[in-house]
Amino acid sequence: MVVTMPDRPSRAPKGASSSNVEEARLRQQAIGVKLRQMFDQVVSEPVPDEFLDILRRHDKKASDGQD
Amino acid sequence: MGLLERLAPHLPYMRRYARALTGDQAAGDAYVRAALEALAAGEASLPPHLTPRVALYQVFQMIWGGTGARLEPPADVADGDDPSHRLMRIAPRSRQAFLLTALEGFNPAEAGHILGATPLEVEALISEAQAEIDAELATQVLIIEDEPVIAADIEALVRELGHTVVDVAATRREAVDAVAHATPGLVLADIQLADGSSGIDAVKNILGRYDVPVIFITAFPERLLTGERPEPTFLITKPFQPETVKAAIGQALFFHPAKVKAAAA
Repeated sequence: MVVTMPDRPSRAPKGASSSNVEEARLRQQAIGVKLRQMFDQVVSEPVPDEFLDILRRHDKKASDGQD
Repeated sequence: MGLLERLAPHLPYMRRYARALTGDQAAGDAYVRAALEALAAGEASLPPHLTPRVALYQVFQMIWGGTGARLEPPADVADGDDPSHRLMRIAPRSRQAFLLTALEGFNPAEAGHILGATPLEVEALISEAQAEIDAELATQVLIIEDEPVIAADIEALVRELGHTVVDVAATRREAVDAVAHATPGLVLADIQLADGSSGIDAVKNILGRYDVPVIFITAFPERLLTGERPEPTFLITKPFQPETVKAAIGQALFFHPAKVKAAAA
């Protein structure tokens, strides 16, 4: 996909809104950092076995099917 | 390479996202499980042009977007002022764009693959999320600052975020009086005030009565670091970048309980 970037002058009206998005992103990252701390425990706890079993069963079936 | 090997490293983060998105670990896990089962049954597949992590989130999105996004919000979402409740009050699609980028660290193109949206649409969703967050957090702000020019700068910035400035106090006395008239939801405080009084003392006085987030904006950060630092507080050093102050305000408010408690009452 080719994305054409308009020249600076023609971007002028959009300038404000794209800097708004930039600012929004910055402010959301400040919240994101704290959310990551909040959910730290979810990431560090072991993944439920049943999730891994679903994938394991699939992989086993796939490799059995190849034999 | 099998599904287990490709996806297992990403499952802790997938569960985090599901939890943040649905507001509940059990509900989130149910969608993760459904996504994995769809993959295992061949009802969904990992698009080869995407990284395994992006592809996994995309399959999850298909499952959740088809059912979960339509089912909410649960009854208890309307009130409740912890961060999870705040998240749930953001509309589903902008919440996803927000969480995928700010929590999960995807770039707009990746978030677009996951959401089935162009990067421009993702940016629009991020802006919508910000408008919703701003509306959610809008509150009354007390500014404690003795320099009129700086006070005016801070005031403008605070208004830009959609907050109301209840007062600008130049001394400890004025700050304490201001709080007696209107309880702020946020205090922005300088440390060295006009009459030689201390913003730290003013804040300690206020925090003795109300549970309110405080952001110190000061040219003398060491006074906060050496002295007894009142909690909960943030610290920004002058001269400040407006974006830094805005980011700190959002962070302070998002994670602070909204209800103003009158401890002495």
